[in-house]
Parts: sequence; C-alpha cells; structure tokens
Amino acid sequence: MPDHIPLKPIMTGVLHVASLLVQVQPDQVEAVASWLRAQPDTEVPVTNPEGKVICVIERTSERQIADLTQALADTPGVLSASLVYHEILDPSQADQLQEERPCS
Amino acid sequence: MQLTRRQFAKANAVAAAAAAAGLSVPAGASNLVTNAELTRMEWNKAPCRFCGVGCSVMVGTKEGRIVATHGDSQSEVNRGLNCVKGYFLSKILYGEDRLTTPLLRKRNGAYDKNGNFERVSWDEALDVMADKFKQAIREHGPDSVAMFGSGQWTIWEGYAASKLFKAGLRTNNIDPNARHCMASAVFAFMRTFGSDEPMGVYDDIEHADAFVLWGANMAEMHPVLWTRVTDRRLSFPHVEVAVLSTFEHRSFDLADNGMVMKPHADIVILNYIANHIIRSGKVHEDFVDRHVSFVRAVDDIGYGLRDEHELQQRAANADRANEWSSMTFEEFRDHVAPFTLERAARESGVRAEQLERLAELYADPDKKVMSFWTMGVNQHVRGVWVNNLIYNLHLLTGKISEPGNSPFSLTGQPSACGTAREVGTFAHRLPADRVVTNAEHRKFAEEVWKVPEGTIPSRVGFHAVEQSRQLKDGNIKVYWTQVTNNVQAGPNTMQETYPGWRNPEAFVIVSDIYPTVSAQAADLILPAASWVEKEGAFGNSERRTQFFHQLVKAPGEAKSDLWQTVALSRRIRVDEVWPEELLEKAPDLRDKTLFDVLFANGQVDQYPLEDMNPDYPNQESEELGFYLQKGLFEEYARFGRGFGKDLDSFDVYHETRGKRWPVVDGQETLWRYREGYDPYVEEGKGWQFYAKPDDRALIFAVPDEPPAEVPDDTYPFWLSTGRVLEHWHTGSMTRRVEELHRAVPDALLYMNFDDAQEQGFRRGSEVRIISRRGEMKARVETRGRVRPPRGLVYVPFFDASKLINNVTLDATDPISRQTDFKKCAVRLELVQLA
Repeated sequence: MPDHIPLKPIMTGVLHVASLLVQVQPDQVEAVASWLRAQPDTEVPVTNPEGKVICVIERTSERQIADLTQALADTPGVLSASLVYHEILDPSQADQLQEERPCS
Repeated sequence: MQLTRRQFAKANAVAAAAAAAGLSVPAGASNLVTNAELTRMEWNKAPCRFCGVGCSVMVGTKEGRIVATHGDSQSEVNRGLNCVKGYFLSKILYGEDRLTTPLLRKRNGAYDKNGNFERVSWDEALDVMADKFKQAIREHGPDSVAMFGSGQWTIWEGYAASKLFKAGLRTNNIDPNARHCMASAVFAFMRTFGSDEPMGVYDDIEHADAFVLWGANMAEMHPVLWTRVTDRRLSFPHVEVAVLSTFEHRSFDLADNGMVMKPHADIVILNYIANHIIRSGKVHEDFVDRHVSFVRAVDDIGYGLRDEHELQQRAANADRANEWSSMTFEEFRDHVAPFTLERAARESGVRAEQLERLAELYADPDKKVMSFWTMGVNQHVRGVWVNNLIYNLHLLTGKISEPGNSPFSLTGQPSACGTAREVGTFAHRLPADRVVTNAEHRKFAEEVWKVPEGTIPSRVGFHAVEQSRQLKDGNIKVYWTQVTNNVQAGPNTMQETYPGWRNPEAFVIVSDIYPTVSAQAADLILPAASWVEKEGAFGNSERRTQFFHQLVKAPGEAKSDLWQTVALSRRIRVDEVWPEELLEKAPDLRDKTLFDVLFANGQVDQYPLEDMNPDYPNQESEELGFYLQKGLFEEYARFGRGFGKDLDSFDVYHETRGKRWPVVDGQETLWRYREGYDPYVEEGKGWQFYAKPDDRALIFAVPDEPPAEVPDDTYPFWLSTGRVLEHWHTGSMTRRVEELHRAVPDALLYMNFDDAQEQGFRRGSEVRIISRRGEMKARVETRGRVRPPRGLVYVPFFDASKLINNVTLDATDPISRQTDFKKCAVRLELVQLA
C-alpha cells in the first residue's frame, strides 16, 4: 500500500483571474499596497484608509494564487487575505474582444 | 465600449471584491456582473463542504465538471468572501485516485481478511456486507455491529444511517467523528441550558465591544468569521480582542491582549474571573435572581480511560461524572474565592495585569462580550467543565441572548450541528435533543418511525473511542465507517485503533472518495459521491440549515452514502434481525425488508419525483421512484417542530441561503431565550431558558483537577496537536490539491527556539517524538505560524505518512467521551541534524 499518493495538477495551460480582499492594520495600507503593486501581473484598484486593500491578479496556476495568499499572510501588518472571485480562461481567447457589453 | 475576455474577467473580479468589502467600485468596473451566457458556465449556490462556518459558495459548472467557484455575495455568512479551502473546492473532487468501484479483500475468488483488494460489483459488495451484518446479529446480538460517521454527512445521510441502526438493526452503536470535535460542547449545552447549540448568531460580531478567544485560532481555522471580527475591530477603535492559548498563533496579530498560558490552566483562570466578577460587585443580580440556579458538579471523575486503567480505578466518581447537586449563591461565592488573581497568574504563567484586563471585559456592564472557543476547550479531559465555566461568566453578568453578548461555541465540520447534533447520530441520542435512555423519547421516535414499541434499545451505544476498544477486544464483528478517516484521526492508533481494525474477528467497511489510511486498513471499500455530486443539506454553527442540489455526476460507479445505506436496507429482512417477541407485536412486518419498514413506510416515500426541480439530477431518487431526500427531511423535521427546534418546509431551503432554527411561521430566530427575538419566550419574562424545567440556566461550581498525563523527567515536553489552515482535518481531501500540499508538504514539529537549541536541534533537524505509547518522526520548525512557549511542542495531524496519533493518549473527558488531543507528555530524540 503506498503511503504517499503522487499529486498532479488538474489543469495546465490555463489563465486564472482572481481577486483578493486583504485586511491590514490601517497604518500599513500603503506599504502593503506598494508591495502588491511590485508583484508581477498584480493590480491594486481599490484601497481604503480603514485597512482594506483589493487586488486583482493573473496567474498561470492555482499554486501561484496560494503562494501569493501565503506570502500576504506572512507580510507584517496583514490581518487576513480572502479570495473572492476566480475564473479560469483559455489563454488563446483571453485577448479576443467580447461581442457585447457585459450586462448590468 | 468593447472589452477583451481578460479585461471583462478582471472587471468582474474587482466588482465582486469591492462588493464583498462594502467599498465603492472604481469607474470602468461598475455594473459588471458575471454573464452566464458569456462564460458559458452554470452558476449555483452550495454551502462549502469544509468547516462549520457554513459559507455559501457559487459553483460554476461546465460540461459536467466544476470549473470555478467564488464567494456568494448573497450569503449573510461570508458576504462574498472565501477562504483558501473554499477557493479550491472544485479540485477536491478531481484527484486521480478517486475511488470509482467497490473493492473487496479476496483470495481464491472469495472474501478473505488477508487477501488483496479486488474490484467487485455493487451487488457482490452489498451481498457480502448484508451477510456479515445478519450473521453477526444472529450469532452475537445487535450490539456486535457498529457504525462511525461524521459531521460531514448530509442531514439525510446521517438521519437514514441513524434510523437504520437504531430502529432497523436495533443497536445504538452509531457515533459521529464529531465526538472527537465537539461532544464536550454538546454535553455542556445540555447541562447548562437543557438544549443544544448556541443562543446567539454570527450577527453578534457586528454588535460586540470585545472578543475573547478561548484557545481558538480563528485566523486560521475560521478565517471568514475572523475577517468579520477584524472588520469590527478596525472600524471601531473601542473594540478589544483578547486571545488566550497554550502557544502563540496567527490570531495574536489582532490581539490587544494576547496571553500564552500553561496547558490546563483555563479552569483556574475561568474560576478567577467568576471570583473577580463577584468581588467587584458586578454580578447582574436581577438576572441571576430570576433566571439562574447554582449547582455543584460531581468531582474526581477520572479520565475516560479503560476501566482497568489505574487512573480510572483511583477516581471516586467515574461512573457518575455527569451529576450535580444544588447550592446557594453564597456557597458558589465561597467556592470561587480561593481562585485569586495571584493564584491564576502563578498557575497559568500569564501576567496578572493581563488576566485582570481580561476579567474586566466580562465584569464591565457596558461592554458587550462575545466568547469564542472550539478544540482547545472541547478536546480537554475537563472539556465539559470548561464549557460550563465560560457560560458561568456570561450568566453571572447577564451577558447572553442579546446582540453582541454571546458565548459562542464554534464547530469544525460543515454539518457537525445539522447532522451529528440535530439529527442525533451520537450513540446516546435521537433527533432534536432526545436521548435513547428516556422511555418517553424512545416512544415518540417509535411513533414517528411507525415501528413497534420496544424497537429502539435503551442502552447507550459505543462511543467513538469505545468502538475502537470493542473492535480490538473482538466484540464488534461488523464495522462501517462513512465520511471519516478514523485510523488517522482517532487517538492511540498503534495500541487501539489499528489492531481493532485488523482483528480477524472483524469485518470493516469504509465508504470514502479516496483511498485513505482507513480505507486501506478496511476489508471492503465502497466508493462514495461527494458534495455537489449529490443533493445535500448541512447545518452550520449558528443553527443555519442550508441545502444544495446535485450539480455534477459522481465518477465511475461511486454512489452517495445515502444510496449505500438504503441499498443495504433492501438486503436485510426484518425477521433476520428482530427477535421473536418484537415480531409478535407487528406480525405484518415479518416478511418485509428493513427498506420497507424504514424508507417505504408511507412517509419517506410520499413525495413524487414531480416535486423535484427538473433542472437538477438526483441519482438516488430517480432510481427509487420517489423524492427520497424530501421524504427523509420532512419525517425528520417532525421531531423538532413545536419543541424549539422547528425547521421550515423542505422547498424553502432550496430557494434561500438557509435559515436559523427555530423557524416559526417562516421566521428564523436570531437570539434564543430572549423576549422579542425568540417566539418560544413568554410575554413579560425577558429571558426564559425554557428547555430547563424551571426556566433557569445553571451555573456550575467545578474544582481544578489535573490532566491525565503531565510532563516529567522522562517525557519532559507537552505535546499539543491540531490543524493548519491549508490542510483540513486529516487531509484526505485537501492533500489532493497540489497547491495546498506543496504549501505545507510534511508534518513539522513546531517548537520554541531556546528549547531546540538546548536539545541540540536546528531548524530542519529530523527528530523522533516519543510517548509512552508510540513514536513518529518530524522536522523541527522554530519559526513561522505556530510559536510555542518553552516546554510545549505542536504537531499538526494532517499528514497520512506521519501519524501523530501513534503518540497521543486516548484519555477522554469522562462526561462527553471526547478525546484530549491537546495534552500528553513526550520526549524528543535527534535522528538527523540537517
């Protein structure tokens, strides 16, 4: 009986788009936002002075998303990092124009 | 304006996060929502299948597979957020080693305990299983069969299994692994209030002025609730957070008052706080006069070990641990008087000013306090007492059953409350707080179930740890486990659990979705369907019942646990398992199967397939020809309606994000026992603890008694075990997710840097952890998320290749029979320096 079952990724060659809500100590908002902006394929479209930072990321594996949340959790001043949205795209279609405006 | 798919996805991601954060959305990303047509995904709600918080998750399916998930913004629980576990839910189902066919140990074409696993048909598997059950009951009586389930059972899976055992096979030998998780909480609720489960709700978080964590690491174990606590703390500067634990963990980051105490010192601290409240004149006298009685708990109650163990022999009251006697307030005052601040500080190792600051949170009448606790309190040889002691503080001050004043017992599994507790899958329970030892309760259940009087046995069945002992001793002949991995999760594996499972006398069946350690130790493995591969219902920690539809098909021949239970019942005839005197009371049942009696009883089978939503599959019902889940739920709901545990009608739960019971006239209840909030409280009463005969809750006087094992010269370290966020429980599911596995690849021994240096270890050294019972190897970690004080080491129990429960002790709380995984004594030996 094997005591360790090898683990394999389920999907490769895909693009993950995700958003995170990060709660930080209020005096650390700018520091954490700057750190995030310095990460590749990472945007910080919204912050607020009471300690909320929203970031949107593109990654090629879920592992990289987990790594970022782990790195955030280890960053001084960060109190929590919650994932909100996650979509898997086919990279070959990612830059095609949508035919219609998204619904409102 | 035209957008690329990438831009569209990112705009949606921003909008969802901003909505979850309650922030306004930047220009350009406004009014964007997921467009099902564009993404070609079907989105449906489902409660997360991991912890007890009960977050609602939106599940995106495409071509029969789950391809995406996001937090459900319509959920009052998680408000659009998700934690790491929830985020990767979709992948839990798609490990390459999913079990897809029954496997039976065989040699020369027939079952053989020492044979190898071979694929067999469902018919062969169920025939062998039914024969084993019938043979055991015929030759050794009904108590020779047993079942072990979990708080991950859906409500109807637990209900069907409990009914099959208690009313069909006629044994109460069924217990959930929730026994390891919150049995102490259950017994304390019954002792103090007479009714299980919290009086408050998560909404208390937004009303509290102070939060006290008793041993709970919510930042990692209940992260979504922790974001709500964090929000409250950051938005309102007067709010204070106190964290108490035997080691420093992530939740200390938010703490205004972080305290590391010596193991087992919580009893002294809690008694000190009661003393402080009384001495400083802060008792809410009117509340106490009208709504509370004082009682003295029986002491010297032992450690729930085997009867022959010397600690049991020495205990004066091991056989009547759950008894108490009346006392006056003055006697209670005198009882807590010796628990002074100086003593509490000395015995706990926490600074006196920190303890006093903690005590003041409870004493100050202007502070609304929410107390949280989970495993640190429950997995404790005095876990029931510690639960009672926390309620004491809220009852002395009247800080209970109103927004923000809330003693809140957290749970660890998605339906620990809904299934293990409310359905009553414990060895002593029947649905809605009834117990098998009460003749009236049995009679009520027999009437609802339409079985003859005397069908349900009155003897309490074997609890979790006792099941392992009875297997080892050869008294349990057939043992079935569903949705649990007890060889890994149960205590004292090498001396009790594993020898029991491999006992030649026993036939062991495991239903699971992966080949867990338990599955591989079994004789028959049944492949199970999981989560949204079946229609389900969970009940979370705040009394919220939530439903989900079947969204995808299970792989191969995997079938839900409910299907398996029902399928077995069709193969057993009533006269094969019931004694003659019972058959004489109901001669028309003689030739029927257990399926006919339990499930085709005119109630469970009364809802036609037309009642189902045609947009979703339902594998079990389509096969049976009636809406099985609805029939089971409506029969089950009869137990609680009118008894303070009212559930709404079945269809409502599919349309809502759940409701918190009691649900009366369609209205959920947020604060129980309080006039104006709870429809059961009579006018003019204010508070009414109506589940107690005199409407009064009990304050318990308990002494300080030592743990079962303490460090000494030979075994100088405390060992505590527990979880890390990325690996849920035993890791049989989360270990499949590569991202999670690689984040924390192997079991680590977290220890204090100075201790490591003194022992001659480095960070990364391989060491052997040795107790009086067994040993394991792990690597030393002196940094990171868990920071133990000197004298204590911590090992997570997720890693199947490093079984820490070879080392732990099977001492339990004598009242709840819940194991103390947090305290035993070990020594450490260097294997390799690194």
